[in-house]
Amino acid sequence: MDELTQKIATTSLEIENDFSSASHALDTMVYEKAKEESESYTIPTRYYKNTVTLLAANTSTYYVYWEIIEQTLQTYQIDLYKEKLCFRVENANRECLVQFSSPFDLGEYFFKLDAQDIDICVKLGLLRNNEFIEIMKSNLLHTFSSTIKFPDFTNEVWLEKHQSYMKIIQSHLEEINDAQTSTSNIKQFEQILFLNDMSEKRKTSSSLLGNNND
Amino acid sequence: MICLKNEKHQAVYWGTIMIKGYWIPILHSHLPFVKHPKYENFLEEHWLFEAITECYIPLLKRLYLLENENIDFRLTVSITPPLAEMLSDNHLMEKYIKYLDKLIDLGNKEIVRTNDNEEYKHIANFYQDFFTQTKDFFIQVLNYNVLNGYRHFYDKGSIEVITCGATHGFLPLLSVNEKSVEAQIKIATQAHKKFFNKAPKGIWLPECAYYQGLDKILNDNGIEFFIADSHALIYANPTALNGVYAPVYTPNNVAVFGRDALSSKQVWSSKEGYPGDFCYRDFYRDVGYDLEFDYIKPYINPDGTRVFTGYKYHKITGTTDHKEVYNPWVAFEKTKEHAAHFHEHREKQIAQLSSLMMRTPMIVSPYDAELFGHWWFEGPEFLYQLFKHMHECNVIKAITPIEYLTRYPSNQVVSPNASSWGDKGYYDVWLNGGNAWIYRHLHAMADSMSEYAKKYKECNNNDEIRILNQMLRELLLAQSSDWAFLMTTATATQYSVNRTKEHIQNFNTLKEMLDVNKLNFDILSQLEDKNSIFDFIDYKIFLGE
Repeated sequence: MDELTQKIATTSLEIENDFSSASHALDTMVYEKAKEESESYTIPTRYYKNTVTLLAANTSTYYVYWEIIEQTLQTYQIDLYKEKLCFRVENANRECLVQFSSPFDLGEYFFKLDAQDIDICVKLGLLRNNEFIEIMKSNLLHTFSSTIKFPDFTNEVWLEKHQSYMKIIQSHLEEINDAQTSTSNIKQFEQILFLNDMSEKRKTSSSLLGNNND
Repeated sequence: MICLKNEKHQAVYWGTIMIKGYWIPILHSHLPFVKHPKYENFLEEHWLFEAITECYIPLLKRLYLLENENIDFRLTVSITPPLAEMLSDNHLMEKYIKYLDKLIDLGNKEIVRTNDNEEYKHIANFYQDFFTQTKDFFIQVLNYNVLNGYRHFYDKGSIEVITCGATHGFLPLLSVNEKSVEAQIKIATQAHKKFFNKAPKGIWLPECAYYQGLDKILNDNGIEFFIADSHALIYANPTALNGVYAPVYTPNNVAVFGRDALSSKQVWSSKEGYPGDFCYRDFYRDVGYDLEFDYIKPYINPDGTRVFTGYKYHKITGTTDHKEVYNPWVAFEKTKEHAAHFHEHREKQIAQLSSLMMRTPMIVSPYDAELFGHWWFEGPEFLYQLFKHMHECNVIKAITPIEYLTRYPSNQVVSPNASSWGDKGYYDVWLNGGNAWIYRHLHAMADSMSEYAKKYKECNNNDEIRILNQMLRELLLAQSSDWAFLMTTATATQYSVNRTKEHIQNFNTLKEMLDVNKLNFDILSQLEDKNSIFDFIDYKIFLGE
């Protein structure tokens, strides 16, 4: 990729990385603190449902919360006074990236993991005789990316979008207005395949890991 | 990089005018839904009243002025569904009139009190006049509804009103149950049609938060563009070749406009930004805190809590506590200087970008609308002066995202990176040790909503339908990103915690009514009256059909 393009990308980011808009106007409105009183509201302490959910906070911090019901503990003959639940964070190839354990049937945990631009999930189970027994798995999560990936010939795609029609344009055709030849039609087809592939990849990696919490 | 035949020259004609670059100003107008009908005076309702008085009306007044002066301007404004609902709520607007009357009354007293002080009496008069004119404008021009002002310019095409999540839910963290996200988007477009009589073309994603796959839901709901943080485009797959200076399309054909942080920072930064100029009004010094308690008591919170009244007599002056008297006329003159400075810097920025790009650069500058007027009192005047200056210079053209896309329909396709406009561009502000507890409940409620929508799919019982619809309202209100945000900033923590818990409790109370088949109409009616958002709501939206 040429030098100019790299410069645009870095120009786009140079201020961004040390400036946040999270200083909302709302924050200035609530500056005038009222007498804050804790009112009494009753909210559930647990939902009596097997759950393990994974959320991302940033490129290296993740949050997981879980609940495992009594019936499931009995099914797997788990005594949490003697045995801990095991959590495995896996990628799409089922490789374990992080592992931790907990003696609680209901809990939450923040963990660190440097895994960018990949699909991950958390599996909740048991570690018995050095073998991981899966009980349930979380939602699939695509992690953040913080790397610049300049396109090459194969994945630089442009789209011309109008109210009534759309046209995919191949990157190496320099003159967009001339991109209506039979050659460009073939190229358009190739690019449509590429776009389909992009969305299919997501579906595939989802199906690899199956449904959550089941 | 692709080279467009008709874009080899960076300067382009707009009509007969040669334009060197485009500027897309975007104001995000949002406040969480706050309505407490049981109370005559509820402090958190003042967030709305202050925003109307200091932000929305001053902005609309300037836009009318520009229109009268035949100055061509373009502005993109997101009006979030909760804000639109509150601005159209009779109960809240009746309270707003009372709020203004109280301020005008305080102004009358202040004119008498400051009569012997040459410096202060002018500014007391200024404020009394400001609040009186605000009331006149609200009644006579806006006919008691601020949305009428926005509709006027939206229909004329000078502003593009876009929508937002139904209750400003932080979509990536709700997407564990995708129906939550679908409901946030679908109800938002329905609300937009209700208030503006047309479908929204664009959306301000709550907190600019994006995750992979969201574009499909947006496309399914007819959304043509959204605004994202630069991390979404630069770390996209593949990287956006023109950075944030030209839009891209997502794999599902939705256009993404990236935020230019440089122009944001120039206005927004509390340290380096224009609002920090020493001659501008000081936000913190207010007679609500400065004057004797007995004198100011009728104008502060009834429980005696001192609050901002809007009568602020001092300018920033410097970095110490020493504050000199504010002179609004001098401050408003200063906005001309800052408008010219902003324009000059955009010109330089565009010149630099033109040397790097093969098309005419576009600079997207999104801001919280409430920044202009509330935090930065002179902000609306700055915008007015900026549009005037831009019109006179004819070098940069302010346009809307749709106008840009009409002009430049060919754009790169990328899969944007997950991101937000929060700290470092990720989700930490809305997911950390202080607020993570809420997500277990929000997800469980969404799962229950899905379950009950299926269970009551064929329901014809009007009372049960009322309960199910109110359950959905409570879920949506609990999902508002504002609560998690305020828990992080620790400014209104208890109120945010209470609000979240209140909606969780309400949801479960209603669910239990269905479970035990025992309807409590008093509770239901109370909730419908208080959390009255979205009168068109239909719980079946959670079926996702």
